[in-house]
Amino acid sequence: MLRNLYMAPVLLLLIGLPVIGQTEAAKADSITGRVVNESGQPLPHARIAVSPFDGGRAGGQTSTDRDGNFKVTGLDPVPYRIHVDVPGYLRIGEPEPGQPVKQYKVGESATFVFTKGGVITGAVTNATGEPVIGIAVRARRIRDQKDQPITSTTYYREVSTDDRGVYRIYSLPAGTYTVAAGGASDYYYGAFGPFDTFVPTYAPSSATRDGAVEVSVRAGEEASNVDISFRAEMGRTISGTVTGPGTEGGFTVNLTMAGPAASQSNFSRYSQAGIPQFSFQGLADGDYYLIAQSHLQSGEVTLSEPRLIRLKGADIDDVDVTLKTLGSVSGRVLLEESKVTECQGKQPPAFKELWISAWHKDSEEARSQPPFVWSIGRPVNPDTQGAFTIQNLASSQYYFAARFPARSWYLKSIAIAPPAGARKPSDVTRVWTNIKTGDRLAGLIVTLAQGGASLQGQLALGEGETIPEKLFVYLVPTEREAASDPLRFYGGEVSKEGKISLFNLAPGRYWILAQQTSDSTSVPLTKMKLPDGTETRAQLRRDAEATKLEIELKPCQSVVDFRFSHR
Amino acid sequence: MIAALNLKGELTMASSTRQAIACIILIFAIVVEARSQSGPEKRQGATFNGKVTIKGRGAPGIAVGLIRIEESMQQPTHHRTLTDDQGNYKITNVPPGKYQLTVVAPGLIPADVPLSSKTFLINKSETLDNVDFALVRGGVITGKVTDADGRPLVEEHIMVLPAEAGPGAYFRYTAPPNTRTDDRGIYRIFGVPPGKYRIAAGQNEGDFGSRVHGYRRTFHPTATEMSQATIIEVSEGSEATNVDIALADATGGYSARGRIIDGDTGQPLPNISYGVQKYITETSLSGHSTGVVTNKEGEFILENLSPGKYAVTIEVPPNSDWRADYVQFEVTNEDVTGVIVKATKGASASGVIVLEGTQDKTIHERLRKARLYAYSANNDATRGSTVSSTINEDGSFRIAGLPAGNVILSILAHRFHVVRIERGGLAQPQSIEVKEREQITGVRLIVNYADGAIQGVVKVDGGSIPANSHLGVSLKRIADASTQFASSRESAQVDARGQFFAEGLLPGTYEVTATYATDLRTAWRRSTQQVVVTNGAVANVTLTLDTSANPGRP
Repeated sequence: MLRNLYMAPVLLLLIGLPVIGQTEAAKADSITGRVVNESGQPLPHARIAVSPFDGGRAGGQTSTDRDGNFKVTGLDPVPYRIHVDVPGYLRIGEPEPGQPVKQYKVGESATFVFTKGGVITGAVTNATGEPVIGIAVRARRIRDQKDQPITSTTYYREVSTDDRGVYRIYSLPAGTYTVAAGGASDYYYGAFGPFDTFVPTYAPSSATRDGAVEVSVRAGEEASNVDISFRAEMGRTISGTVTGPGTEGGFTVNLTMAGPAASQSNFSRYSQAGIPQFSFQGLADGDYYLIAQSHLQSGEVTLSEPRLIRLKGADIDDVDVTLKTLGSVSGRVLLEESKVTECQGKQPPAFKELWISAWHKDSEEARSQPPFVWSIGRPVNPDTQGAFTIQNLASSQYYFAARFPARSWYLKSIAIAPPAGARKPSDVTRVWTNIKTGDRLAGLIVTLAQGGASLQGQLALGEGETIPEKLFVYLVPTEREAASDPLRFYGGEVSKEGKISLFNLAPGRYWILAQQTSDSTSVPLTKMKLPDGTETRAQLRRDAEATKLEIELKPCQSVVDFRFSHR
Repeated sequence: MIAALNLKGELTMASSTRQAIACIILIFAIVVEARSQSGPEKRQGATFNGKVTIKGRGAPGIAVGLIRIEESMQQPTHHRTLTDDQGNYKITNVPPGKYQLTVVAPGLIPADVPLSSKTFLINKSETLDNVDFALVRGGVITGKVTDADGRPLVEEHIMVLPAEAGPGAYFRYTAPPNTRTDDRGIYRIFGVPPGKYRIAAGQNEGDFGSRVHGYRRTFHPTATEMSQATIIEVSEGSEATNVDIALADATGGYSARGRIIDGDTGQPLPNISYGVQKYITETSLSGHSTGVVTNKEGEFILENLSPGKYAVTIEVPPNSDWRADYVQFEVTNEDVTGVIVKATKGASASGVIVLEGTQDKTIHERLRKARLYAYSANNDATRGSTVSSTINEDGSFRIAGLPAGNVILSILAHRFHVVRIERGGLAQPQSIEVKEREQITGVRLIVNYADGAIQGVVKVDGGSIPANSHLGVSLKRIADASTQFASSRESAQVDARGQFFAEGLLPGTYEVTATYATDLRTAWRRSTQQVVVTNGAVANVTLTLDTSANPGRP
């Protein structure tokens, strides 16, 4: 069996997308569907699991018939998620970890398209050319199918060689991989592997990542003869003990090589209940970050402080780490209605459709931690009273965001209850909020106001002009007092058709700026929302003011067919 | 995947292994070193020396190491090494603990299948020499799995079933449980001990519902009946190729629908978990929790049912009052509807759990975190599943959802035993008698923590134990008034030098018996002694066997 590991890169908003129903004969309590390959051929015996989005309700499991069809009945009228598994195949359009998961409702029909994954195969031999039997071989994805480097996500698959030294790794998503044999592996769970005390040898025969061959695979294609001459160099061991809340119920220890090779040298160990020790063998000398993690039954996560370990020339056997409860912030959402006529009768956002999230400050220190640290403090929905708690925030500085679909509303303010003695709640959109391990912040007030405007427009092109790539449109407040209010800055990318759609806009006056960028990392979209994005906002305002293109958005106004030009 | 030669000489699979690889771990020694004397030797620990050979020649580069056994779990240790150019290995500084000495040599198997394995009980200052492993290359079985239309089947699980008992009834081979076909439908199992096998894929007997993926169990080449399977013979280093299997489509695919209702009011019960079992025979059931709950109308649906007899019931969380009898239904050649499961509030028992015999706070704390279980003593499969409850901080408990009849209460936590039950100040027989919906109070459950141990040695004719002899030790606890339930019989592993160690014993008087024979059929000799075990201590015993005395039956 293949093992893979996904780690979500950063805090990502999980947004349930509404689904457009397809009409097919389906009973009122069932979801039907079909599983096919890319040329439309049915895939029989695909495993289907239908489970309610909110958990705790009727669901079902089945498999497709000879014609690739499936049907799950006895369902409630609630949103469901569908998981489809076709061994050896990969789903086309499978959401990346952290991306929104599609919702299905009873009566709907769904089609899932699968394609055969890529294959990497080869043989592992020793110095005398004999096959190395039972050695763990691991393929790590270093670039995706668009040749974009995979930096923050760790993705690998591991198999073992057979009695001829042959390995075969299949179901690989398209991309570029490195392949290594030996070293710390997940393969021999509960026992030990014959070669896991050795430093991994990268194909063709390198002890380091620098000498590794890069193997590209495409869907359904096979990269063969990716042979490895195993170097059999003994590695070092890092081992120790874990204490603190969550130790007893089982924990994971994650070891990541410091520096640029982090996503290439990332190992995990799962504890066995009751045994508080961990051990990593087969490590090359170098600097590593070690962090332990446990999930408590309460839904809280405990983490240890990241520990830098310098491995050089000798085993390190006394790494003792302590699990600690992370920080949390709780608060409530307030809704302010408007008396403006245009806004009457517009639906307020349902609390369950609202997502409140906390985003950490990007820094050298934050990047040195394993990426999963920043993905466990998940966005939350408020309860029916508007109350929420965001748990599992690792020590850092944070800012907050809210997303909701109700278009005639906008995010007015985010503030935190004042400390004792002070009167006014303090605005947390212009300052970072410090949250440390064990902190229990309370009193975060997210105010949504009725009166949100929207702006939909089309890029006006001159004679012979084409729609430029990476063109962004920004709305910059003209009012002096709003000049550095992160909540008043809006923006979005112009679509391939030259369209722009911005919703949930605060009423007021704005300059409109269309700006092209060549470097995707320098887009001010994110930075203008940051508490310390003052400089970005000031620059945007200077650029926008120069356009002399101004618009006033009235409460609940919906501007359509807005024409704007580039330059 | 790890195959292991366990102490009974069976080749079995280590639990919770995740991967498909045919390799062999030979476990030659159990090192038990729990409470030995402390002193200057403590830092030194135990030493193992030995040699790994293939066909009599030293095998270099073979991994040898210790796996620690703790509370029935396996944890690899740092005590690992590779054999040198001559096949020799040495493991030193082994601290106190319980270990398996293990060789990991994928594709290789033990040269001689022993009738009983060698075990060693050592003290930490000891050096064990000549702990040798003789290996040979196992056989290979490879082939392709397709569906009836010839399409390759990916990640299809392969079963290797011995077609005859191996040398001695002890030896049994099981393929790595995760042996699966690759993306081309091809599988390859290596390290297979010589013998005759049937190779199968498809669903397991008794699989149904969500576990079914549409193929019947089919033996190489196309047999759905085991008797029709072509038998594959494996010899040392052999390779059996084209052992292909064309899987037959599953029959069935019927569904059963029904409702779970409140048996008193007739109202539907939504959000109730349910489990279903299939009768393989009249008394043998294969079942599982469905992982889903009833919908708003209290309805449940079971799909992919093959013809046969089934039973469905509710599954309740701990401390729930609900219970239901199993409701049987039969699938023949059509969908089943209208299965009604009537849930009612069951009887309950409440009272207090008293831990006797220890003042250790951590043991008391562990008991508070344990769960109390109750099941019907009538051993009646129609009476519903086991129920459980948590234990309160003050030791009080209330276990509900009980059926009428005799109910056995037990604590499912390592080394905790219910030794006595009192109701209204009166000692109860092995179980408590519960009437329909009765709410029993004032139950006292007396619990002991088993932390005694016996260490001993068997001496045969005053000398060492001859090779190829059979030596066993059994322990029997003699019940007394204070611990009426706790009479038990268990066996202890005896090593090649006649030493044994048994831990996790309840305090009390034990009858320790050694049995010995050089021929399994005749000439058994035995020696028995009584030993008093107390918690937290090791009792010592020496048993002497005299082979000149008259032999008897085991």
